[in-house]
Amino acid sequence: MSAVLEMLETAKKQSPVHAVDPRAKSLWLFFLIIVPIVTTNQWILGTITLFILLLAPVAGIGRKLYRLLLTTYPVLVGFIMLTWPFFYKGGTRVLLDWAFIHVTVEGVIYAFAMGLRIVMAVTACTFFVMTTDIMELASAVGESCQNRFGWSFTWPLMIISSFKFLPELMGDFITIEQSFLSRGAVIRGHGVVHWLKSVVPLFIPLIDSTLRRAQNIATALQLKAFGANKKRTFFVERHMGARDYLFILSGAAALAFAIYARIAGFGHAIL
Amino acid sequence: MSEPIIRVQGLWHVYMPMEQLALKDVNLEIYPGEFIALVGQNGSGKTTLVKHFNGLLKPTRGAVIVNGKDTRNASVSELASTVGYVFQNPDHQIFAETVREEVSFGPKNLGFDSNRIKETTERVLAQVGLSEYIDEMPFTLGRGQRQRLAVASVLSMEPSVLIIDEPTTGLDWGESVRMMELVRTLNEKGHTIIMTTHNMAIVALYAKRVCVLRLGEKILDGPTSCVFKEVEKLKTAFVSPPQLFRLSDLMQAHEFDDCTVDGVTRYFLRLLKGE
Repeated sequence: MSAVLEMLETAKKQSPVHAVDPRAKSLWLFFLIIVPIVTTNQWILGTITLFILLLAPVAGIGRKLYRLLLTTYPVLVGFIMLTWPFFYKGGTRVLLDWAFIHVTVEGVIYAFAMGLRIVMAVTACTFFVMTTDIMELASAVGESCQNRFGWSFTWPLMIISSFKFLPELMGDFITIEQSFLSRGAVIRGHGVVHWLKSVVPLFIPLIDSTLRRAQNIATALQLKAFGANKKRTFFVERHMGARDYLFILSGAAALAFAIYARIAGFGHAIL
Repeated sequence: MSEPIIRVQGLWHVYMPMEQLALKDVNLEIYPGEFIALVGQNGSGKTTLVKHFNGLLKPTRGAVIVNGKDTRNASVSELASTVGYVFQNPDHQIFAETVREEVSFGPKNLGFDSNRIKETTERVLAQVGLSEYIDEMPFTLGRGQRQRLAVASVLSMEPSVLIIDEPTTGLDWGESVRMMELVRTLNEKGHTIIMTTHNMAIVALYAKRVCVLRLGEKILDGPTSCVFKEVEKLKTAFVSPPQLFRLSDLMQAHEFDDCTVDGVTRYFLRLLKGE
């Protein structure tokens, strides 16, 4: 929970990457999310992941990103590598063949490539969240919708702005959890099934407080005339520059190469 | 004097990962049967301090000993039977379909037998004046009733210490007095009461001891009437004593020394009667 709060806090930093237009970063993320769907080639996935990791120090988030991902990667890749031998029946170079467990070198490489797909997506998403301020993104998308495309600004601004309340929601969840703990509830430390059972009641007050907050915010927005006019003033009118286009281009190039690899026949994991 | 039920020794607390210092070398002893109010501006560390008393937070440095048990080595559920914690917003803890179920949640967690749970649930609901709502849905109750329900659901675990976080926030004066009279009755029955609040009128009326925090440090601690005399120090913590105390402070120049609400009331009654 605190890791998410830390990530949202990091998004407010100043750096060349933070300064990139949030719309450009959104497109970049969109392209990179598609890459692991298109290809399972571990070399392509690994190279793109490495590129993002090398970009992190430029954004001034190197230490925090690495620390966060170092605790996430082993779980993601480890889980897939441990479970894959149960499902992958191919491969000739057998490492272990016992009962229904059939582990081959090819299977391990394939499992690693599958893990890399998730690793790449997680790395790109984490990098995006740590370098993009939600309110800036909301404002930029709202401004584009209104001034460039002539659409209503209300929906994009409203939807993206609602993410701003994630820390509040988490704060509520922590308080609710504490109030249950104070009444002798044991939530953690007794396995996943016990955790699931004991965490369900926590969502009732959470939903209740969220609905109350949503109602209050909606009223407050109306009282401040949100949506009263078809057009609203945006203080900052962003114009994309060379850096923003370069950012989009890097994502588009990665996706284009992944599609090419798929068409050319080397898009799958190389065993 | 008996042994303190809560002993805070050189307590420091730093919130991670932002590395925010919330408590700085706090020392405090709370004795059984006390009624203590923790006051201070927002962010002064009141809630952080009380969350150490039932193990919700663990000391970064120093120790908190509750009933002889170091909270660093005890879980929240272990401490729950000694220290009950009523949260500021009752809606953060209500989840059950009926008032009865809500109140019996804690005793069930502590493993009370079913007869004891039934008896305790009915007793505490009578105590907080909610017996008639026992089979009602908690969310249909009014704010003041939900606040008393939150107290009942903690009382049902029979803790000897009761922490009440901002008990009168969002309540009108009538509900506030009703809530505080309930807390006073509990104190008279032997419960140790620890209350955090911004309402100095409530503090003056009910608390016997006041502890003032400023930016995570304890700056004043003592009987309510003595603490409220320290006007200059209180100002630094953005705490303003009730008008009655300021008046009695001015009256000290005329050798008046009973700085309690009752004392000042008695004095004016005597004046009115021309005694």
